[in-house]
Amino acid sequence: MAENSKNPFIDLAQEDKDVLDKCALNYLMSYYGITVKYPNPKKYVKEEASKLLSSDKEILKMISLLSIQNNRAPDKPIKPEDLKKTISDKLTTPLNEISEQITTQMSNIEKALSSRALNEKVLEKLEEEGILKHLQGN
Amino acid sequence: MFPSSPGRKPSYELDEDHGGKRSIYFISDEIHQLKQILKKPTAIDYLHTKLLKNGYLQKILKYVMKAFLYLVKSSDLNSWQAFNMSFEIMDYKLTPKDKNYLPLPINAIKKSDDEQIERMSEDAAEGMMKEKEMFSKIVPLFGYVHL
Repeated sequence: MAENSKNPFIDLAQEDKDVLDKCALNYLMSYYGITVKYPNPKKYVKEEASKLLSSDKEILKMISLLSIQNNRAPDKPIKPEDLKKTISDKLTTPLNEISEQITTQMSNIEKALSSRALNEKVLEKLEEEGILKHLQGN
Repeated sequence: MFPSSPGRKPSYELDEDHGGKRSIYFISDEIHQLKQILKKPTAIDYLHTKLLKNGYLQKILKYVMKAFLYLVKSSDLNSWQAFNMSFEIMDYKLTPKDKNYLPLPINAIKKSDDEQIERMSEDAAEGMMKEKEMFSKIVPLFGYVHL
């Protein structure tokens, strides 16, 4: 943190703070939304989280989001074929091979990853959620 | 070629080019703006302070940790996948020693009752509140949602 104790966030313009406030609000809204529906996290796990983790589609979306987040050139366009290769590599060469079950699950997701699946399960969803914008093509 | 045959090409090499106009995507302006702001030295501190001050950070982390622990308890596949995705998000490469040690905490969590999970999630949330590096890796990913 900056050492100016009167204004420790001197490098942030008001516009930056507004964006970060919105980000904090997203957290609060997500937290509020989940806890209203599931005050007990045990129920949230039973009803939703465990289904998400066993869903190939959700795992694919999470891996895609991680790949997009780690994109070192955010100004450059994301070509579906390049993203597909990045995701494919991530699925077949994970950071940690911690269990055979997971390696098999990831490998099966990779085998089913066609261009169509990428469009329908990832790109269209991320566009709907405002993470990506689609510029050309059909 | 059968999908499971040895020497199968990776999926990204299998698609044919059907012609037509190529699609391209960009990271949306809002996300791009957030990514740029998060590069500034005090941005993570600002967000951390904001959530810490109103007391929500502890509540959110405790809920997340509790859900994580129940997820680990729920099934073998879920417990491995919960750890696997956490390491991916944190970009954390395990050492061989860590890998050998991992079944121990997993088994301990599986044997825990509700009271122990309550205590473990509270302790974990307290520890995580001080871990700004970890916070900085989680924030961009989940800050994107509903921006």
